[in-house]
Amino acid sequence: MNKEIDITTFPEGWNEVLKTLTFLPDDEARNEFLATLVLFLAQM
Amino acid sequence: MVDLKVLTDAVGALDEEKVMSLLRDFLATNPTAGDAQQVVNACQQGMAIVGDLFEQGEYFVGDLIFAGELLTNAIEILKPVIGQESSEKIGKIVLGTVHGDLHDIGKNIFRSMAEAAGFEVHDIGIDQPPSAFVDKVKEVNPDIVGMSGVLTLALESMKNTVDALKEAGIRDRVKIIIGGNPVTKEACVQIGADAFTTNAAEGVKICQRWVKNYD
Amino acid sequence: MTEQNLLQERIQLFHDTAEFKKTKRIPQISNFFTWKILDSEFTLSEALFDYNKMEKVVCDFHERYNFDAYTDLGTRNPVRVTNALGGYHYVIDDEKEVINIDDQVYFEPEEYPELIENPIKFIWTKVLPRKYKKLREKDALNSFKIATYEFLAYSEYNQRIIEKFVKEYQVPTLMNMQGGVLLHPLEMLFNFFRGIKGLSLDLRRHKSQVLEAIAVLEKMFVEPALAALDNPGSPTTVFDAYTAFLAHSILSPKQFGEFYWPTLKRIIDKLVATGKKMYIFSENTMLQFYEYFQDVPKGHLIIHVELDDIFEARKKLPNICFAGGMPADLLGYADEQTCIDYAKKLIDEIGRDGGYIFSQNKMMSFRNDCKRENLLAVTNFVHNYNG
Repeated sequence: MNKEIDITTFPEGWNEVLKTLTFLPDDEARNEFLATLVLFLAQM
Repeated sequence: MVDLKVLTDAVGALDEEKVMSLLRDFLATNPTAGDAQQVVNACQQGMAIVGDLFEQGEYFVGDLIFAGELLTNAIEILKPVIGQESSEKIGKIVLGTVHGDLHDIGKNIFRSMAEAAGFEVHDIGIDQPPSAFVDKVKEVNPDIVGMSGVLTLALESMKNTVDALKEAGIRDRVKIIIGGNPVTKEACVQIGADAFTTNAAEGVKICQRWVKNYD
Repeated sequence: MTEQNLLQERIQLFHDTAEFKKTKRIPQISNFFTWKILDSEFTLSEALFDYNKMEKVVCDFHERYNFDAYTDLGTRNPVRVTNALGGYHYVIDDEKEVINIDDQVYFEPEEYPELIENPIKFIWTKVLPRKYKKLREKDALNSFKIATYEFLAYSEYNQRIIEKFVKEYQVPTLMNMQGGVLLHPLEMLFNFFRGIKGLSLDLRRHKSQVLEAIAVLEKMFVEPALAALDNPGSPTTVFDAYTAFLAHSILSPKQFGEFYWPTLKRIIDKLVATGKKMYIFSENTMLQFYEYFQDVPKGHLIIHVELDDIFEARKKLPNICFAGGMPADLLGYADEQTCIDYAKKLIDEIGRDGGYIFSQNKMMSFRNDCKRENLLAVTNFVHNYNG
């Protein structure tokens, strides 16, 4: 069984999270969405 | 012995590097507790300059926060030599942010400046219910109670605190000053405080006048 | 006049006011935040954790008071999203009816170079794990998935409520938490990263790094937002951009000139060049910096002042449209007639020739900030007062 990846690493953790954004069509959209969400989480 | 005037001016100018350098050099001379006390006084006079420059609009809130930090660090460095708190305090203050309010910057600035002016300050912290103020007043028997708050609801908490002091029969033993953005003359009357301020330096001056009158 | 036109009428009213044109009435903005919940049948927690309840709160509020625009439609505190990741920095106390937020300090001065090198990477690897407990625990990926869903649900509520207000109530959008908010980089450092004390110390101890961080954050976040001003404005929003002044409150005028003004000037220049307008909520006071604003052409800035004397503000800056003025002190503690008299004074003295939007001075959050009967009396008066 794979060791759980630390999602707070970059780019490994970031990429793991991108994979979960299946409701978006491609990598560009996923990266954009995640960057928006990250900024939101930082500001709220 | 360090040049006290240069030190005072350096504190007043918020020149952290210079202040720390002067203090380190001073410590290297193996000073007496008496010398150290003079140095502390020089730093406190520097804080008075900071207060004046604040009133003149040269310094602002960020500078006061920095000054508080600078003074704390200076006293920390001198602690090994100061020894017993031998200097006479000009008065005693119980200070806190009232119930429901977590803000502490204004309170902390006031505390730094009051200590620099020679007051013994008992800071009970933030979000303090009336009972905490009452208990502390009974414990240390201060000259002054200072209440701080930034949120509009702090005014209600301040009134509750004054009422609690009255109920405990100790209101008349102290002078009460309220501080923070929402405090006004009308609020001061409603709350039953003796003075109000939105400016830490002014608040300290008010407290100094009060303790002078006690003599 | 048909309902179809009310939305456009409101937008026109705001624009005319900002451009110092005389108008039939003074527009009113609601600066109510959690007070809306206390004025409703729900507790703070109930409304903050349930979008359907929050929808009812904001809709009932509008139906009761009928403002022309709102600084908040229940999206200011996205506690469902932050809680999902274990960020409990919003402290809700239903008994005391208070919501507090802890001072946000998420990096040390030694880490400025990392922020400067790559802000998004820095936020991802350092800031978020420190802020959100569940990112440091087992099943972090699952927690993030849940937080993502909560974010989507929040976005859906935001979209839904904005559309409802536009279509059903003919109320234009003033502030959308998910678009059109232009934050100065110093505000980012002050509010989300270093906190009040941290930044105060950084300004002196790490001045060049603060300036470098501002430049990097400006390039990354402000510049794209400014480029967007080249596009045509939205037909359903009040103004084109929205920002808030909070960090300015620790600065001296000299520090304002060094750290704040350069970026702000670029924003204002862009607004002027594109014929656009920006609404600024200014916490605390800003008149100590009035000299910087003296040359801003009329019609581009609307400044909502909290603690400044608004009559003084009008004298010092006749070129700036101001919003606010109605004190929480009066709304919360005085009687109806006193409130109405003060509202009339505001309009008569600073609203006659445009340049004034009626609103409450503070972000109305606590029960004693306002009495319902006072608010009803005042909103009704201002709506009908033709001067």
